[in-house]
Amino acid sequence: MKLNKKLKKWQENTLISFEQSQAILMYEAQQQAKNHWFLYGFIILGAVVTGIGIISIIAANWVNLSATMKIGADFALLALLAMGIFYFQTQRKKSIWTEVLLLSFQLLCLASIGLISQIYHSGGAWYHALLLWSIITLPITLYSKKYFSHFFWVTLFLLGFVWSLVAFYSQLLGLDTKGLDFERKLTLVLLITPLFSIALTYISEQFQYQQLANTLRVWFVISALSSLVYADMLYWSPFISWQELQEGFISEALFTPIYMITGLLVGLLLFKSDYRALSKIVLLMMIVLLLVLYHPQLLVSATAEYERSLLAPVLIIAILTLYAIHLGISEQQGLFNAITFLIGLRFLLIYFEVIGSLAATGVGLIISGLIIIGVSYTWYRTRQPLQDWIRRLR
Amino acid sequence: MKYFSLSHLSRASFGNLLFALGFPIIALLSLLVYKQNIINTGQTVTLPIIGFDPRDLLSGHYLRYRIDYKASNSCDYDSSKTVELCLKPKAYFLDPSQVAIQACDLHLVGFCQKGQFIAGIERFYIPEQYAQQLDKKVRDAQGSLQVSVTRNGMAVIENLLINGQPWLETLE
Repeated sequence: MKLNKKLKKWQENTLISFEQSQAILMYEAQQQAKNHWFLYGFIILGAVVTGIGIISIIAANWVNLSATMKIGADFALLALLAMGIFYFQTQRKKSIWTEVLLLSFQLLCLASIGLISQIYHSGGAWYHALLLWSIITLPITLYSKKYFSHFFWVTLFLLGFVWSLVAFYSQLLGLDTKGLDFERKLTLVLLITPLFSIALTYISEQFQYQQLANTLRVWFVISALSSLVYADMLYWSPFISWQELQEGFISEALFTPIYMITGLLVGLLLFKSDYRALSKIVLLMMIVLLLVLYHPQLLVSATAEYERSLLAPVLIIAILTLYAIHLGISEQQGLFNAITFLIGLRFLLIYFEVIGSLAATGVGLIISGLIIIGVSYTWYRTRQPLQDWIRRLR
Repeated sequence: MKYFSLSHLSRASFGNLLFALGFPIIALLSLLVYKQNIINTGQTVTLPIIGFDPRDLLSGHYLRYRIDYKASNSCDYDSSKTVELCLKPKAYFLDPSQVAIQACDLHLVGFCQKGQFIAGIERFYIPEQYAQQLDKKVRDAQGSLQVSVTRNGMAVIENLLINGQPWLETLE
């Protein structure tokens, strides 16, 4: 409902006075005037299109331009952007141009790494380039007040760092020669990313870089959910034996960087002063269960095949439930609703896994439909009382 | 100085801003100087190249190839170990445990991966319009690589040669 409609309704129900309604409208109008996201978006679009145009002209004349000319133009542009940022950043009133120039500077730094590696035909990996870029642009990123610059930096940093770590470690163990396949590398990436991003979130909060912490937390949620979905797929894959899963889809030796990051995360969590004891316990249990999911030998030793179909849903639902409890305690309503919805969805999947092809029959479809309605309704009716109950647990 | 005044900035925030802007530029300049220094101070060697996999010879705008070092022994060391490949007076892989006592005038530093020696010079950037021509010539074993190698074994590609000529001069 639009704000003026809401205000009219509140006025009719004598919740607010006419004067208060006018004051709210005036305040909101001022806030909207301050909010330049629309203009910011279009200016960024314009900057990107201009950049692509410049790159196209350079690419078309690549052979005719000398290396000195290309490098000279690149560094001249970098210096100009730096001067522009310096000028706008030192103004008392912050301009939208600071943010536009800042993002352009970030992009040009990345392009410069690419240009140098092209001119000297460097054979380095893409993740090393991203890691170098994220290290050199971290200080200037911290100057940004906008979400997009942080999101851009965090995304490329996590990609660069995690893939570099996996590559370094697999080379250190000599696994590249023995064939560490892409699936195992992806497994490592999907396990390291949520643990590392939440550890960095806590560090950023400690140093009061709230914008950076918020972005890292978004990547924690995305990567943690991806990690759970991927683990679910691994357990159901007909190409991976139960023996392989039990012994750890990724070997014990490869778990060393994961244990190191987990150790750091546990330390940060224990010393986190703004978390309640219950939250800390719940999060620690969640971390342990995530490790068990990818390394079930830590928990089970039996070889019964039925455990395979049981273990993944039980662990995933337990991890999601623990996270929902933490969200309930820390009063994050939106994410709490989303996670509890996912728990319901995973329960629904168990039903479909159990009845299999029977779900496609007439009776099966009726039962399935009723269960979907039942799960949705139960979730809708219970999410608020559940959150209230968790809040009382504190 | 009505529009540009720094008086409201503290010395620390002024310094931080200068650092934040200067650090990436200095880092990129250092990378550039490092690469150029290898070319300026290194010794130029020419190494023949061959296409090793017809499906993977041309990867995007990069020409990928196998360098034929003509080494007398094979690169079968663990990928975690740094390996030195002697180029002069003769090509052979130095035993990592006995590097100090083996005589070599010029060597390359890298590592072994699936029997191949990797020294960071396994790609050559080419504009897309010349890709097919060069691809064919490299497949026909007409290509060689001009590489600058420093005394400590670092290498940077100087040029791609086709039948001994710089690649740009051989295009039709």
